[in-house]
Amino acid sequence: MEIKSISKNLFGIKRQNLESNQTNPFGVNYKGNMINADVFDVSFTGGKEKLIEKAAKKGKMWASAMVSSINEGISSRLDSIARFGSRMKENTINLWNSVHNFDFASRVRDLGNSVKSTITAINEYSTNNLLKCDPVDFIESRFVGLVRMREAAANA
Amino acid sequence: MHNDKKLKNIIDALSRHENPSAVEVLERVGTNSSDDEVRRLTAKALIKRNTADSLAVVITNKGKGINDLSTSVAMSSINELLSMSDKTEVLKVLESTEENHEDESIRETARSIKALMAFS
Repeated sequence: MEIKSISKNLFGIKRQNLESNQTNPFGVNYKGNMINADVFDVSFTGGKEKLIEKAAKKGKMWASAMVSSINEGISSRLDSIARFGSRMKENTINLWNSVHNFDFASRVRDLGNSVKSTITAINEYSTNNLLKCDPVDFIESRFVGLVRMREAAANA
Repeated sequence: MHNDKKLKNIIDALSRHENPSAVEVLERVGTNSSDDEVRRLTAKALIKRNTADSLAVVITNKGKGINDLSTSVAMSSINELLSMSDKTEVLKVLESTEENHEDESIRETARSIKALMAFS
């Protein structure tokens, strides 16, 4: 048998025109049957993945992991922002309630009374105020107190 | 306000107070104190009040005013009497004391002050 006589198309596979190769990228038919692209799908290969699919799959997995981690980061940041916002809101509400419930009037009144008491204490011993005391019992009581203090200090 | 200032204000107020019982308070509390400064200020206040009863306290009582046992208090009272602008009332009291008081030493002191006033 001459080599020349050996048909190039040993297995009887006829090539198709390129135009009709959308689903048959390799333009192959076998025994008159069109070999479709789905032949090249992994599921038809009995679980045996081709190298290109393996690489694509790994890429997909890597991309998926990246997206997942990015999403996780974004979520945690958004949660943190949300918690911060809630805290600020709570603090603002608490501050508002404190201010709202603060009794300014009574505090001012207490301060005024305190100042008044101090001024009264200072003025109590002014000569003009003492001259207005009548009868003089109040003056005498203060007089006695001060004299006794002096005498006690002298005897100490 | 410091206690010394309070004390001075009280004694000053009693010296000028309209109520006659202020003299009793000054005598009861002030002239009987063991503190020389209190007695000195009280005597001065009684003299400044310049009434018959207030002057009588510092002129006629043993151990008070011009008769105080403390020389500084007695001298201070005498100076205050001598520096008075209106001596009408004090001269009356001095004369009355010189003539009528039962205690010789008090009569003698009153006579001396009266003589000093004639020269001042």
